[in-house]
Amino acid sequence: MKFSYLFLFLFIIGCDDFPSSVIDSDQAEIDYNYTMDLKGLNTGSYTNVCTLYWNQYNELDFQYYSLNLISNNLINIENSLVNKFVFQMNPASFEKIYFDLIADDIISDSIEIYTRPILPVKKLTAAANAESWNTTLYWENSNEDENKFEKYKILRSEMPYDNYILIGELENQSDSTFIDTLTVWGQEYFYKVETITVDNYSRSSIIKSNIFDNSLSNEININASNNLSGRINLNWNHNLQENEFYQIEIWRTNSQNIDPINDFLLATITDYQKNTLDDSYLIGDGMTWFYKLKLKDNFGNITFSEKQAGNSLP
Amino acid sequence: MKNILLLIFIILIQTSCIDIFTSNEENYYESIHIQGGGWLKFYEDNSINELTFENDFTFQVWFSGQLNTNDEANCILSLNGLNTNINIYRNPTIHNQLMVYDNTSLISILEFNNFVFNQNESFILLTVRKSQNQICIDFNNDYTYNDSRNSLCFDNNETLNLIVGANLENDYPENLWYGYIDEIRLWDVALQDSIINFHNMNPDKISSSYNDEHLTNLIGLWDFRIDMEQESFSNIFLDIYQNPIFINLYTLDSAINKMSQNGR
Repeated sequence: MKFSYLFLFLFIIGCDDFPSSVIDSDQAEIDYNYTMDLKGLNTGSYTNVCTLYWNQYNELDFQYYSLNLISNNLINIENSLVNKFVFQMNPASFEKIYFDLIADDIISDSIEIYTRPILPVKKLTAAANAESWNTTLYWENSNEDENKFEKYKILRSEMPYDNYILIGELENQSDSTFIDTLTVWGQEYFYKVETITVDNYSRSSIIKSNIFDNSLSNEININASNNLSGRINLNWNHNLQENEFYQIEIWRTNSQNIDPINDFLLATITDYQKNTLDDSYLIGDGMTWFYKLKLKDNFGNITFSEKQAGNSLP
Repeated sequence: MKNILLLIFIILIQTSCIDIFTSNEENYYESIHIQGGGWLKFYEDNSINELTFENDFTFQVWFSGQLNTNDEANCILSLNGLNTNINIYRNPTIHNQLMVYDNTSLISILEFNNFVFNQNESFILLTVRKSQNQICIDFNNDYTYNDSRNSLCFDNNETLNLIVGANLENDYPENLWYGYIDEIRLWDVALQDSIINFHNMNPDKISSSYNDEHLTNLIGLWDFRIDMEQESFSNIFLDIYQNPIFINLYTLDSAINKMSQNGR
Protein backbone atom coordinates (compact mmCIF):
# COMPACT_ATOMS: atom_id res chain seq x y z
CA MET A 1 0.00 0.00 0.00
CA LYS A 2 2.94 2.32 0.69
CA PHE A 3 3.96 1.90 -2.94
CA SER A 4 0.47 2.98 -4.00
CA TYR A 5 0.86 6.29 -2.18
CA LEU A 6 4.28 6.72 -3.75
CA PHE A 7 2.90 6.23 -7.22
CA LEU A 8 -0.06 8.48 -6.48
CA PHE A 9 2.38 11.18 -5.36
CA LEU A 10 4.49 10.73 -8.51
CA PHE A 11 1.36 10.82 -10.60
CA ILE A 12 0.20 14.14 -9.14
CA ILE A 13 3.53 15.94 -9.34
CA GLY A 14 4.36 14.50 -12.73
CA CYS A 15 1.26 15.70 -14.55
CA ASP A 16 2.26 19.31 -14.97
CA ASP A 17 2.21 19.67 -18.76
CA PHE A 18 5.23 21.88 -19.13
CA PRO A 19 7.70 22.32 -16.26
CA SER A 20 8.40 25.98 -15.86
CA SER A 21 10.17 28.56 -13.78
CA VAL A 22 9.38 32.18 -13.12
CA ILE A 23 11.58 34.55 -15.10
CA ASP A 24 13.44 37.14 -13.11
CA SER A 25 13.14 39.90 -15.66
CA ASP A 26 12.95 43.64 -15.97
CA GLN A 27 10.02 44.48 -13.76
CA ALA A 28 8.35 47.45 -15.34
CA GLU A 29 6.49 49.67 -12.90
CA ILE A 30 3.47 49.87 -15.10
CA ASP A 31 -0.16 49.44 -14.24
CA TYR A 32 -3.18 49.62 -16.46
CA ASN A 33 -4.58 52.98 -17.44
CA TYR A 34 -7.91 53.91 -15.92
CA THR A 35 -10.64 52.91 -18.28
CA MET A 36 -14.26 53.83 -17.77
CA ASP A 37 -15.59 50.62 -19.26
CA LEU A 38 -19.10 52.01 -19.72
CA LYS A 39 -21.68 49.26 -19.68
CA GLY A 40 -25.44 49.16 -20.05
CA LEU A 41 -25.90 45.65 -18.78
CA ASN A 42 -29.70 45.71 -18.77
CA THR A 43 -30.04 47.75 -21.91
CA GLY A 44 -33.02 46.64 -23.96
CA SER A 45 -34.40 44.51 -21.12
CA TYR A 46 -36.95 46.90 -19.63
CA THR A 47 -39.45 49.38 -20.99
CA ASN A 48 -38.76 52.20 -18.58
CA VAL A 49 -35.24 52.03 -17.11
CA CYS A 50 -31.69 51.38 -18.13
CA THR A 51 -28.72 51.29 -15.77
CA LEU A 52 -25.37 52.66 -16.81
CA TYR A 53 -22.29 51.22 -15.06
CA TRP A 54 -18.70 52.47 -15.10
CA ASN A 55 -15.43 51.84 -13.28
CA GLN A 56 -14.83 53.92 -10.17
CA TYR A 57 -11.99 56.41 -10.34
CA ASN A 58 -10.13 56.23 -7.05
CA GLU A 59 -7.42 58.84 -7.47
CA LEU A 60 -7.13 61.99 -5.35
CA ASP A 61 -7.58 64.37 -8.28
CA PHE A 62 -11.19 63.25 -8.79
CA GLN A 63 -13.67 66.09 -9.14
CA TYR A 64 -16.88 64.61 -10.53
CA TYR A 65 -18.47 62.39 -13.13
CA SER A 66 -20.51 64.18 -15.73
CA LEU A 67 -23.28 62.42 -17.64
CA ASN A 68 -24.43 64.40 -20.62
CA LEU A 69 -27.50 63.15 -22.42
CA ILE A 70 -28.12 63.91 -26.03
CA SER A 71 -31.44 65.35 -24.88
CA ASN A 72 -29.29 68.03 -23.19
CA ASN A 73 -29.83 66.92 -19.63
CA LEU A 74 -26.65 67.17 -17.60
CA ILE A 75 -26.07 65.08 -14.49
CA ASN A 76 -23.04 65.63 -12.28
CA ILE A 77 -22.04 63.04 -9.68
CA GLU A 78 -19.55 64.23 -7.09
CA ASN A 79 -19.06 60.96 -5.21
CA SER A 80 -16.19 59.00 -6.77
CA LEU A 81 -17.49 55.75 -5.24
CA VAL A 82 -20.64 55.86 -7.35
CA ASN A 83 -20.36 53.50 -10.28
CA LYS A 84 -23.86 53.36 -11.73
CA PHE A 85 -26.81 55.53 -12.62
CA VAL A 86 -30.37 54.48 -13.41
CA PHE A 87 -31.96 56.34 -16.30
CA GLN A 88 -35.73 56.64 -16.43
CA MET A 89 -36.75 56.29 -20.05
CA ASN A 90 -39.77 55.77 -22.27
CA PRO A 91 -40.38 52.45 -24.01
CA ALA A 92 -38.45 51.83 -27.24
CA SER A 93 -36.30 54.89 -26.71
CA PHE A 94 -32.59 55.29 -27.37
CA GLU A 95 -30.29 57.64 -25.52
CA LYS A 96 -26.69 58.49 -26.27
CA ILE A 97 -24.86 59.20 -23.01
CA TYR A 98 -21.68 61.25 -23.10
CA PHE A 99 -19.69 60.45 -19.97
CA ASP A 100 -16.84 62.64 -18.71
CA LEU A 101 -14.58 61.94 -15.77
CA ILE A 102 -13.45 65.33 -14.52
CA ALA A 103 -10.08 65.13 -12.76
CA ASP A 104 -6.76 66.81 -13.47
CA ASP A 105 -7.36 65.45 -16.92
CA ILE A 106 -10.73 64.88 -18.52
CA ILE A 107 -11.43 61.38 -19.73
CA SER A 108 -14.42 61.00 -22.02
CA ASP A 109 -16.41 58.19 -23.51
CA SER A 110 -19.94 57.61 -24.72
CA ILE A 111 -22.45 54.81 -24.93
CA GLU A 112 -25.87 54.27 -26.44
CA ILE A 113 -28.44 52.74 -24.13
CA TYR A 114 -32.03 51.86 -24.86
CA THR A 115 -35.24 50.32 -23.65
CA ARG A 116 -37.46 47.75 -25.31
CA PRO A 117 -40.89 48.40 -26.78
CA ILE A 118 -44.12 47.33 -25.10
CA LEU A 119 -44.63 43.74 -26.17
CA PRO A 120 -47.41 43.61 -28.79
CA VAL A 121 -49.90 40.90 -29.57
CA LYS A 122 -48.54 38.53 -32.22
CA LYS A 123 -49.86 36.57 -35.16
CA LEU A 124 -52.98 38.69 -35.61
CA THR A 125 -55.45 37.25 -38.10
CA ALA A 126 -58.72 38.74 -39.36
CA ALA A 127 -61.16 36.28 -40.86
CA ALA A 128 -64.32 37.47 -42.60
CA ASN A 129 -67.30 35.22 -42.06
CA ALA A 130 -68.86 34.63 -45.49
CA GLU A 131 -72.37 34.12 -44.08
CA SER A 132 -72.69 36.89 -41.52
CA TRP A 133 -69.83 38.98 -42.86
CA ASN A 134 -68.69 39.54 -39.31
CA THR A 135 -64.94 39.62 -38.86
CA THR A 136 -63.28 37.45 -36.27
CA LEU A 137 -59.89 38.49 -34.99
CA TYR A 138 -57.41 36.08 -33.43
CA TRP A 139 -54.02 36.77 -31.94
CA GLU A 140 -51.42 35.49 -29.54
CA ASN A 141 -51.70 37.62 -26.45
CA SER A 142 -49.02 40.05 -25.39
CA ASN A 143 -46.27 38.78 -23.13
CA GLU A 144 -45.94 42.13 -21.46
CA ASP A 145 -45.43 42.15 -17.67
CA GLU A 146 -48.87 41.44 -16.18
CA ASN A 147 -48.37 44.20 -13.64
CA LYS A 148 -48.01 46.66 -16.47
CA PHE A 149 -50.77 45.40 -18.72
CA GLU A 150 -53.99 47.38 -18.71
CA LYS A 151 -56.01 46.48 -21.81
CA TYR A 152 -56.17 45.74 -25.50
CA LYS A 153 -57.70 48.26 -27.85
CA ILE A 154 -59.25 46.87 -31.04
CA LEU A 155 -59.03 49.30 -33.95
CA ARG A 156 -60.55 49.23 -37.41
CA SER A 157 -60.23 51.32 -40.55
CA GLU A 158 -61.29 51.17 -44.17
CA MET A 159 -57.80 52.29 -45.18
CA PRO A 160 -54.64 50.49 -44.24
CA TYR A 161 -52.63 53.26 -42.64
CA ASP A 162 -54.94 55.81 -41.03
CA ASN A 163 -58.47 56.73 -39.88
CA TYR A 164 -58.58 53.91 -37.36
CA ILE A 165 -61.49 53.94 -34.95
CA LEU A 166 -61.81 52.17 -31.63
CA ILE A 167 -64.26 49.27 -31.90
CA GLY A 168 -63.58 47.46 -28.63
CA GLU A 169 -61.47 47.09 -25.51
CA LEU A 170 -60.47 43.96 -23.63
CA GLU A 171 -59.06 44.09 -20.13
CA ASN A 172 -57.96 40.50 -19.76
CA GLN A 173 -54.39 39.91 -20.95
CA SER A 174 -55.19 36.34 -21.90
CA ASP A 175 -57.97 37.43 -24.29
CA SER A 176 -57.01 36.46 -27.79
CA THR A 177 -60.11 36.88 -29.94
CA PHE A 178 -62.65 39.55 -30.87
CA ILE A 179 -65.65 39.52 -33.23
CA ASP A 180 -66.44 42.71 -35.13
CA THR A 181 -70.13 42.63 -36.01
CA LEU A 182 -70.55 46.19 -37.28
CA THR A 183 -69.26 45.54 -40.76
CA VAL A 184 -70.72 46.01 -44.23
CA TRP A 185 -70.95 43.07 -46.59
CA GLY A 186 -68.19 43.08 -49.20
CA GLN A 187 -66.17 45.88 -47.61
CA GLU A 188 -62.47 45.39 -46.89
CA TYR A 189 -61.47 46.42 -43.39
CA PHE A 190 -58.12 46.74 -41.75
CA TYR A 191 -57.58 45.84 -38.12
CA LYS A 192 -54.93 46.23 -35.49
CA VAL A 193 -54.77 45.51 -31.77
CA GLU A 194 -52.98 47.83 -29.42
CA THR A 195 -51.50 46.72 -26.11
CA ILE A 196 -51.98 49.47 -23.52
CA THR A 197 -50.02 49.61 -20.26
CA VAL A 198 -51.05 51.10 -16.93
CA ASP A 199 -48.69 54.00 -17.51
CA ASN A 200 -50.51 54.68 -20.78
CA TYR A 201 -47.89 53.51 -23.23
CA SER A 202 -49.00 51.46 -26.18
CA ARG A 203 -47.71 49.16 -28.86
CA SER A 204 -49.68 48.25 -31.94
CA SER A 205 -49.85 44.91 -33.64
CA ILE A 206 -49.30 44.59 -37.35
CA ILE A 207 -52.26 45.45 -39.62
CA LYS A 208 -54.52 42.75 -40.96
CA SER A 209 -57.11 42.93 -43.70
CA ASN A 210 -60.25 40.87 -43.39
CA ILE A 211 -60.01 39.90 -47.08
CA PHE A 212 -56.57 40.14 -48.62
CA ASP A 213 -53.05 39.30 -47.62
CA ASN A 214 -51.02 42.40 -48.30
CA SER A 215 -47.48 41.80 -49.42
CA LEU A 216 -44.70 44.25 -49.98
CA SER A 217 -41.37 43.76 -51.69
CA ASN A 218 -38.91 44.56 -48.92
CA GLU A 219 -35.15 44.84 -48.81
CA ILE A 220 -32.80 45.61 -45.95
CA ASN A 221 -29.01 46.00 -45.84
CA ILE A 222 -26.70 46.34 -42.87
CA ASN A 223 -23.14 47.54 -42.31
CA ALA A 224 -21.09 46.85 -39.17
CA SER A 225 -17.96 48.74 -38.20
CA ASN A 226 -14.55 47.37 -37.21
CA ASN A 227 -12.72 50.55 -36.23
CA LEU A 228 -14.42 51.83 -33.08
CA SER A 229 -13.18 51.22 -29.58
CA GLY A 230 -15.62 49.46 -27.26
CA ARG A 231 -18.48 49.40 -29.73
CA ILE A 232 -19.63 48.28 -33.13
CA ASN A 233 -21.63 50.79 -35.07
CA LEU A 234 -24.45 49.29 -37.06
CA ASN A 235 -26.24 51.19 -39.78
CA TRP A 236 -28.88 49.99 -42.14
CA ASN A 237 -31.17 51.01 -44.93
CA HIS A 238 -34.38 49.56 -46.30
CA ASN A 239 -36.97 50.43 -48.88
CA LEU A 240 -40.09 50.82 -46.73
CA GLN A 241 -42.07 54.03 -46.49
CA GLU A 242 -42.78 55.30 -43.00
CA ASN A 243 -46.40 54.16 -42.99
CA GLU A 244 -45.32 50.70 -44.18
CA PHE A 245 -42.70 50.23 -41.48
CA TYR A 246 -43.42 48.17 -38.39
CA GLN A 247 -40.08 47.25 -36.76
CA ILE A 248 -36.54 46.02 -37.20
CA GLU A 249 -35.10 43.38 -34.93
CA ILE A 250 -31.30 43.28 -34.56
CA TRP A 251 -30.00 39.77 -33.89
CA ARG A 252 -26.47 38.93 -32.90
CA THR A 253 -24.16 35.96 -32.34
CA ASN A 254 -20.43 35.50 -31.85
CA SER A 255 -20.29 32.13 -33.58
CA GLN A 256 -19.53 31.75 -37.25
CA ASN A 257 -21.64 28.63 -37.34
CA ILE A 258 -24.86 29.98 -35.85
CA ASP A 259 -27.47 32.01 -37.66
CA PRO A 260 -27.75 35.23 -35.62
CA ILE A 261 -31.54 34.88 -35.79
CA ASN A 262 -31.21 31.82 -33.59
CA ASP A 263 -29.08 33.48 -30.97
CA PHE A 264 -29.55 36.85 -29.25
CA LEU A 265 -32.07 39.63 -29.88
CA LEU A 266 -30.02 42.74 -29.29
CA ALA A 267 -32.62 45.44 -29.94
CA THR A 268 -35.98 46.13 -31.50
CA ILE A 269 -36.26 49.34 -33.47
CA THR A 270 -39.74 50.82 -33.85
CA ASP A 271 -38.64 54.30 -34.85
CA TYR A 272 -38.71 54.59 -38.63
CA GLN A 273 -36.21 57.43 -38.59
CA LYS A 274 -33.59 55.48 -36.67
CA ASN A 275 -31.04 53.87 -38.95
CA THR A 276 -27.99 53.39 -36.73
CA LEU A 277 -27.09 51.81 -33.39
CA ASP A 278 -23.88 51.63 -31.38
CA ASP A 279 -23.67 48.11 -30.01
CA SER A 280 -21.53 48.05 -26.89
CA TYR A 281 -23.38 45.30 -25.05
CA LEU A 282 -20.67 42.93 -23.69
CA ILE A 283 -18.85 43.71 -26.89
CA GLY A 284 -15.36 42.66 -25.78
CA ASP A 285 -12.13 43.92 -27.26
CA GLY A 286 -11.65 42.99 -30.89
CA MET A 287 -14.29 40.27 -30.75
CA THR A 288 -16.12 39.53 -33.97
CA TRP A 289 -19.89 39.61 -33.84
CA PHE A 290 -22.24 38.54 -36.58
CA TYR A 291 -25.46 40.46 -37.13
CA LYS A 292 -28.63 39.92 -39.04
CA LEU A 293 -31.61 42.26 -39.27
CA LYS A 294 -35.22 41.15 -39.41
CA LEU A 295 -37.39 43.75 -41.08
CA LYS A 296 -41.13 43.51 -40.57
CA ASP A 297 -43.56 45.71 -42.44
CA ASN A 298 -46.93 46.81 -41.15
CA PHE A 299 -48.65 43.86 -42.79
CA GLY A 300 -46.35 41.39 -41.08
CA ASN A 301 -44.19 40.55 -44.07
CA ILE A 302 -40.68 39.65 -42.96
CA THR A 303 -37.37 40.17 -44.74
CA PHE A 304 -33.91 39.33 -43.48
CA SER A 305 -30.65 41.09 -44.21
CA GLU A 306 -27.49 39.23 -45.11
CA LYS A 307 -25.29 38.21 -42.18
CA GLN A 308 -22.74 40.92 -41.49
CA ALA A 309 -19.60 40.68 -39.34
CA GLY A 310 -18.22 43.53 -37.29
CA ASN A 311 -15.74 43.91 -34.48
CA SER A 312 -14.62 46.49 -32.01
CA LEU A 313 -11.19 48.00 -32.32
CA PRO A 314 -8.74 45.83 -30.35
CA MET B 1 -5.47 -6.09 -4.64
CA LYS B 2 -2.26 -4.16 -4.01
CA ASN B 3 -0.83 -5.41 -7.26
CA ILE B 4 -3.91 -4.34 -9.16
CA LEU B 5 -3.71 -0.83 -7.68
CA LEU B 6 -0.03 -0.63 -8.52
CA LEU B 7 -0.74 -1.76 -12.05
CA ILE B 8 -3.45 0.89 -12.47
CA PHE B 9 -1.12 3.62 -11.23
CA ILE B 10 1.66 2.50 -13.52
CA ILE B 11 -0.66 2.49 -16.53
CA LEU B 12 -1.98 5.93 -15.63
CA ILE B 13 1.51 7.34 -15.28
CA GLN B 14 2.69 5.78 -18.49
CA THR B 15 -0.25 7.11 -20.48
CA SER B 16 -0.58 10.56 -18.91
CA CYS B 17 2.78 11.47 -17.53
CA ILE B 18 5.35 9.99 -19.85
CA ASP B 19 7.62 12.97 -19.23
CA ILE B 20 8.50 11.52 -15.83
CA PHE B 21 10.49 8.78 -17.54
CA THR B 22 12.02 10.98 -20.20
CA SER B 23 13.01 13.92 -18.05
CA ASN B 24 16.70 13.24 -18.53
CA GLU B 25 16.34 14.04 -22.21
CA GLU B 26 14.15 17.10 -21.73
CA ASN B 27 16.06 19.16 -19.23
CA TYR B 28 15.87 22.35 -21.26
CA TYR B 29 13.39 25.14 -21.26
CA GLU B 30 12.30 25.94 -24.77
CA SER B 31 10.11 29.03 -24.62
CA ILE B 32 8.76 31.93 -22.62
CA HIS B 33 5.24 31.53 -21.37
CA ILE B 34 3.47 34.87 -21.18
CA GLN B 35 -0.06 35.05 -19.88
CA GLY B 36 -1.38 38.53 -20.42
CA GLY B 37 1.41 40.07 -18.37
CA GLY B 38 4.58 40.18 -20.44
CA TRP B 39 5.94 41.80 -23.57
CA LEU B 40 9.30 42.06 -25.29
CA LYS B 41 11.20 45.04 -26.70
CA PHE B 42 14.56 45.36 -28.43
CA TYR B 43 17.41 47.67 -27.48
CA GLU B 44 20.80 48.69 -28.79
CA ASP B 45 22.00 48.75 -25.21
CA ASN B 46 20.56 47.25 -22.10
CA SER B 47 17.42 49.37 -21.74
CA ILE B 48 18.04 52.91 -22.94
CA ASN B 49 18.14 53.18 -26.71
CA GLU B 50 15.37 51.25 -28.33
CA LEU B 51 16.33 49.39 -31.48
CA THR B 52 14.80 51.05 -34.52
CA PHE B 53 14.76 50.05 -38.15
CA GLU B 54 15.23 52.82 -40.67
CA ASN B 55 15.91 50.49 -43.59
CA ASP B 56 15.22 46.93 -44.60
CA PHE B 57 14.85 44.29 -41.95
CA THR B 58 13.34 40.89 -41.27
CA PHE B 59 11.68 39.91 -38.03
CA GLN B 60 10.66 36.34 -37.25
CA VAL B 61 8.92 34.83 -34.26
CA TRP B 62 7.90 31.25 -33.54
CA PHE B 63 4.94 31.42 -31.20
CA SER B 64 1.75 29.78 -30.06
CA GLY B 65 -1.45 31.19 -28.63
CA GLN B 66 -3.62 29.96 -25.83
CA LEU B 67 -7.20 30.36 -24.82
CA ASN B 68 -7.87 33.14 -22.36
CA THR B 69 -11.10 33.91 -20.66
CA ASN B 70 -11.28 37.64 -21.22
CA ASP B 71 -12.90 38.69 -24.47
CA GLU B 72 -9.84 40.56 -25.64
CA ALA B 73 -7.94 40.47 -28.89
CA ASN B 74 -4.34 39.71 -27.93
CA CYS B 75 -1.55 41.32 -29.88
CA ILE B 76 1.43 39.22 -30.95
CA LEU B 77 3.33 41.97 -32.73
CA SER B 78 3.22 45.74 -32.89
CA LEU B 79 5.20 47.82 -35.40
CA ASN B 80 5.37 51.46 -34.47
CA GLY B 81 6.56 54.59 -36.22
CA LEU B 82 5.69 58.25 -36.28
CA ASN B 83 2.38 57.60 -38.02
CA THR B 84 2.49 53.83 -38.06
CA ASN B 85 0.81 51.55 -35.58
CA ILE B 86 0.50 48.16 -37.21
CA ASN B 87 -0.77 45.51 -34.83
CA ILE B 88 -1.39 41.82 -35.41
CA TYR B 89 -4.14 40.49 -33.15
CA ARG B 90 -5.72 37.13 -32.73
CA ASN B 91 -9.48 37.07 -32.95
CA PRO B 92 -10.68 36.30 -29.41
CA THR B 93 -13.62 34.21 -30.54
CA ILE B 94 -12.67 32.86 -33.96
CA HIS B 95 -9.56 30.94 -33.08
CA ASN B 96 -8.14 30.45 -36.56
CA GLN B 97 -8.18 34.16 -37.39
CA LEU B 98 -5.66 36.96 -37.06
CA MET B 99 -6.58 40.59 -37.62
CA VAL B 100 -4.11 43.15 -38.91
CA TYR B 101 -4.80 46.77 -38.01
CA ASP B 102 -2.94 49.94 -38.92
CA ASN B 103 -4.05 52.48 -36.32
CA THR B 104 -7.84 52.17 -36.41
CA SER B 105 -8.03 50.69 -39.91
CA LEU B 106 -8.59 46.99 -40.28
CA ILE B 107 -6.16 46.07 -43.06
CA SER B 108 -6.97 42.42 -43.32
CA ILE B 109 -8.35 39.36 -41.62
CA LEU B 110 -6.30 36.20 -42.10
CA GLU B 111 -8.13 32.92 -41.76
CA PHE B 112 -5.84 29.93 -41.27
CA ASN B 113 -6.83 26.65 -42.81
CA ASN B 114 -5.05 24.33 -40.40
CA PHE B 115 -3.98 26.38 -37.44
CA VAL B 116 -5.69 27.74 -34.37
CA PHE B 117 -4.33 30.21 -31.87
CA ASN B 118 -5.81 28.63 -28.77
CA GLN B 119 -3.60 25.53 -28.55
CA ASN B 120 -0.37 25.74 -26.60
CA GLU B 121 1.40 23.00 -28.50
CA SER B 122 0.91 24.36 -32.00
CA PHE B 123 3.59 26.82 -33.07
CA ILE B 124 3.60 29.07 -36.09
CA LEU B 125 6.30 31.19 -37.71
CA LEU B 126 5.45 34.85 -38.33
CA THR B 127 7.78 36.70 -40.67
CA VAL B 128 7.69 40.46 -41.18
CA ARG B 129 9.96 41.90 -43.84
CA LYS B 130 10.57 45.47 -44.83
CA SER B 131 12.06 45.86 -48.28
CA GLN B 132 12.34 49.09 -50.20
CA ASN B 133 9.70 50.87 -48.15
CA GLN B 134 7.28 47.99 -48.32
CA ILE B 135 6.32 45.83 -45.34
CA CYS B 136 5.15 42.28 -45.97
CA ILE B 137 3.68 39.89 -43.41
CA ASP B 138 3.73 36.13 -43.91
CA PHE B 139 3.27 32.87 -42.04
CA ASN B 140 4.40 29.30 -42.54
CA ASN B 141 0.80 28.05 -42.58
CA ASP B 142 -1.77 28.38 -45.31
CA TYR B 143 -4.32 31.09 -44.84
CA THR B 144 -6.84 33.06 -46.84
CA TYR B 145 -7.61 36.75 -46.80
CA ASN B 146 -11.02 38.18 -46.21
CA ASP B 147 -10.66 40.18 -49.41
CA SER B 148 -9.24 39.74 -52.87
CA ARG B 149 -5.60 40.40 -52.00
CA ASN B 150 -2.84 37.91 -52.70
CA SER B 151 -0.30 39.10 -50.18
CA LEU B 152 -0.25 41.20 -47.07
CA CYS B 153 2.10 43.99 -48.12
CA PHE B 154 1.77 47.71 -47.65
CA ASP B 155 3.88 50.79 -48.20
CA ASN B 156 5.78 52.25 -45.28
CA ASN B 157 8.77 54.56 -45.26
CA GLU B 158 8.98 55.26 -41.54
CA THR B 159 11.54 54.31 -38.93
CA LEU B 160 9.97 51.48 -36.97
CA ASN B 161 10.37 49.73 -33.67
CA LEU B 162 8.92 46.37 -32.68
CA ILE B 163 7.07 45.09 -29.65
CA VAL B 164 6.30 41.42 -29.20
CA GLY B 165 3.29 40.38 -27.16
CA ALA B 166 1.44 43.67 -26.72
CA ASN B 167 0.69 47.02 -28.25
CA LEU B 168 1.56 50.12 -26.31
CA GLU B 169 -1.03 52.87 -25.99
CA ASN B 170 0.66 55.95 -24.54
CA ASP B 171 3.35 53.66 -23.14
CA TYR B 172 0.77 51.47 -21.41
CA PRO B 173 0.71 47.87 -22.58
CA GLU B 174 -2.61 46.69 -23.92
CA ASN B 175 -3.96 43.54 -25.55
CA LEU B 176 -1.20 41.43 -24.00
CA TRP B 177 -0.54 38.06 -25.54
CA TYR B 178 -1.36 34.70 -23.98
CA GLY B 179 0.88 31.90 -25.20
CA TYR B 180 4.42 30.76 -25.75
CA ILE B 181 7.25 32.63 -27.49
CA ASP B 182 9.60 29.95 -28.76
CA GLU B 183 12.15 31.84 -30.83
CA ILE B 184 12.79 35.34 -32.11
CA ARG B 185 15.11 36.30 -34.96
CA LEU B 186 16.17 39.68 -36.29
CA TRP B 187 17.95 40.34 -39.55
CA ASP B 188 19.15 43.67 -40.87
CA VAL B 189 18.11 42.84 -44.44
CA ALA B 190 14.93 41.74 -46.11
CA LEU B 191 15.55 38.02 -46.49
CA GLN B 192 14.91 36.52 -49.89
CA ASP B 193 11.79 34.46 -50.49
CA SER B 194 13.91 31.34 -50.90
CA ILE B 195 15.35 31.79 -47.41
CA ILE B 196 11.94 32.42 -45.89
CA ASN B 197 10.66 29.31 -47.62
CA PHE B 198 13.60 27.39 -46.19
CA HIS B 199 12.70 28.64 -42.72
CA ASN B 200 9.09 27.71 -43.23
CA MET B 201 10.06 24.21 -44.30
CA ASN B 202 12.74 23.71 -41.64
CA PRO B 203 11.48 24.82 -38.25
CA ASP B 204 14.77 24.00 -36.52
CA LYS B 205 17.14 25.68 -38.95
CA ILE B 206 18.05 29.23 -39.85
CA SER B 207 20.43 28.28 -42.69
CA SER B 208 21.34 25.29 -44.78
CA SER B 209 25.02 25.62 -43.87
CA TYR B 210 27.33 27.67 -41.71
CA ASN B 211 28.59 29.40 -44.84
CA ASP B 212 25.26 30.87 -45.91
CA GLU B 213 25.75 34.52 -46.62
CA HIS B 214 22.56 35.66 -44.93
CA LEU B 215 23.92 34.58 -41.55
CA THR B 216 26.07 37.70 -41.59
CA ASN B 217 22.83 39.68 -41.44
CA LEU B 218 21.55 37.94 -38.33
CA ILE B 219 21.54 40.62 -35.64
CA GLY B 220 19.35 38.89 -33.10
CA LEU B 221 18.53 35.30 -32.20
CA TRP B 222 16.87 34.23 -28.99
CA ASP B 223 15.64 30.64 -28.88
CA PHE B 224 14.92 30.74 -25.14
CA ARG B 225 16.49 27.29 -24.86
CA ILE B 226 18.27 27.18 -21.55
CA ASP B 227 19.28 24.52 -19.09
CA MET B 228 16.54 24.00 -16.53
CA GLU B 229 19.06 24.71 -13.81
CA GLN B 230 18.98 28.34 -14.93
CA GLU B 231 16.11 30.66 -14.13
CA SER B 232 16.33 33.11 -16.99
CA PHE B 233 17.65 33.46 -20.51
CA SER B 234 20.45 35.71 -21.72
CA ASN B 235 18.92 38.77 -23.30
CA ILE B 236 22.09 39.69 -25.26
CA PHE B 237 22.84 38.60 -28.79
CA LEU B 238 26.21 39.29 -30.40
CA ASP B 239 26.30 39.25 -34.17
CA ILE B 240 29.35 38.03 -36.09
CA TYR B 241 30.89 41.46 -35.69
CA GLN B 242 30.31 41.24 -31.93
CA ASN B 243 27.70 44.02 -31.95
CA PRO B 244 25.22 43.49 -29.11
CA ILE B 245 21.44 43.64 -29.42
CA PHE B 246 19.28 43.26 -26.32
CA ILE B 247 15.82 41.87 -25.87
CA ASN B 248 14.04 42.89 -22.68
CA LEU B 249 11.11 41.05 -21.22
CA TYR B 250 8.77 43.38 -19.37
CA THR B 251 6.35 42.13 -16.78
CA LEU B 252 3.23 43.81 -15.50
CA ASP B 253 3.23 44.51 -11.79
CA SER B 254 0.89 41.75 -10.76
CA ALA B 255 1.90 39.22 -13.40
CA ILE B 256 4.62 36.62 -13.80
CA ASN B 257 6.25 35.19 -16.90
CA LYS B 258 7.76 31.74 -16.93
CA MET B 259 10.28 29.70 -18.82
CA SER B 260 8.62 26.59 -20.19
CA GLN B 261 9.54 23.27 -21.72
CA ASN B 262 6.81 23.70 -24.29
CA GLY B 263 8.34 24.27 -27.69
CA ARG B 264 7.91 23.57 -31.37
